[in-house]
Amino acid sequence: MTNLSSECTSSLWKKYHFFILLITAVVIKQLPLVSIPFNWLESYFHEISHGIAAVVTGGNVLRIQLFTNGAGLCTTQGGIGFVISFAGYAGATLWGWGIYKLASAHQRVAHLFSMSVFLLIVSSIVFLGRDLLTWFILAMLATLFLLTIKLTKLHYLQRLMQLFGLLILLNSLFSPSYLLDGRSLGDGAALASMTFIPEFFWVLIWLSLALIALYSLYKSAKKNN
Amino acid sequence: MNISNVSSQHSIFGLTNQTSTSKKPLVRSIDSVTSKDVQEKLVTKQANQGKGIVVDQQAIALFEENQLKKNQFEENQFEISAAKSAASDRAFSTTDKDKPSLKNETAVASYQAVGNLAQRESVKQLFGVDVFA
Repeated sequence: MTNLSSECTSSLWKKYHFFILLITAVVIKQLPLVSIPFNWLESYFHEISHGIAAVVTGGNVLRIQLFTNGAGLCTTQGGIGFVISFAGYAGATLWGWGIYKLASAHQRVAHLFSMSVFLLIVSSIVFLGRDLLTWFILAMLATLFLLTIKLTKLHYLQRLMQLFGLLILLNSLFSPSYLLDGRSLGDGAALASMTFIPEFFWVLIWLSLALIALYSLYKSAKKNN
Repeated sequence: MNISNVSSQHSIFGLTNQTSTSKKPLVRSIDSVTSKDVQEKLVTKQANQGKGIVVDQQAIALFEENQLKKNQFEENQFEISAAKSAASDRAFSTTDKDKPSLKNETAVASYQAVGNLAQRESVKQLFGVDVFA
């Protein structure tokens, strides 16, 4: 009888694990205190994407600043402004999608990827953080990933990484909409001033990218079933 | 402006005092430089000269009264003008004059904010730095 119920739960999990994780991510996003570190996580991947884009296009990253309300700043020197501006939200979406995909691939891959992200955050503390608040936020994120690495059961690590991926994706899905506040501030306004294409258009592109990424994860989860 | 006027009035007033009524200080100064004999001679001479003058006590009293009234009036004027200048000094003290109104403070703050943004922009251009949110 017990075996039957556990088998039933396992099959339900296998069939609907994507939706279960998505609903969990949505619930966590609504919780006042619990959601804060995950907002920082999205903010960090957003800023690091600006930084990576700057380095890829021949520039330098001078510093990254993170704030408690989930805002962030990335100071760069050189590089292609258009690519760096666009990379923020698009990069966060890509990080979320990538974390989920790699965690789904294999438990060992999930473990290795978790360690890589931990090292990236530690190197950001050393090379890119310049103020106490940013160091504190980055230290919290590093601790979060260190805890996942320390998990003895790799199965849980895999699920946790998938949850992180979905949380980052959900944040990058909703964050661009905050740009439409009429203040002409942020990446959308920067792109609008560079290309003379309205901010709304760029917000729509970022939103579409996040939706496509989410749909892609759903399709791959369905395929695995 | 007021203060300079007052000081000039005061100096004129002092000179009038010296020429009209205060003969004692002059005698005192002579006392200090002449010998006793010369002093006695001078006193005798002055006394002899005084005998020839017809003294109208009533006229002197009237003159002195007028002088006194004039002096009092001038003193009052001086006090009033001094009080006025002190009051105006209090009303327009340096801090009061420099203190801007609330409207002006807001304007200055707005201007400084724009100035800082412009400065920030110039620093960004100088070092070729970009900030992405």
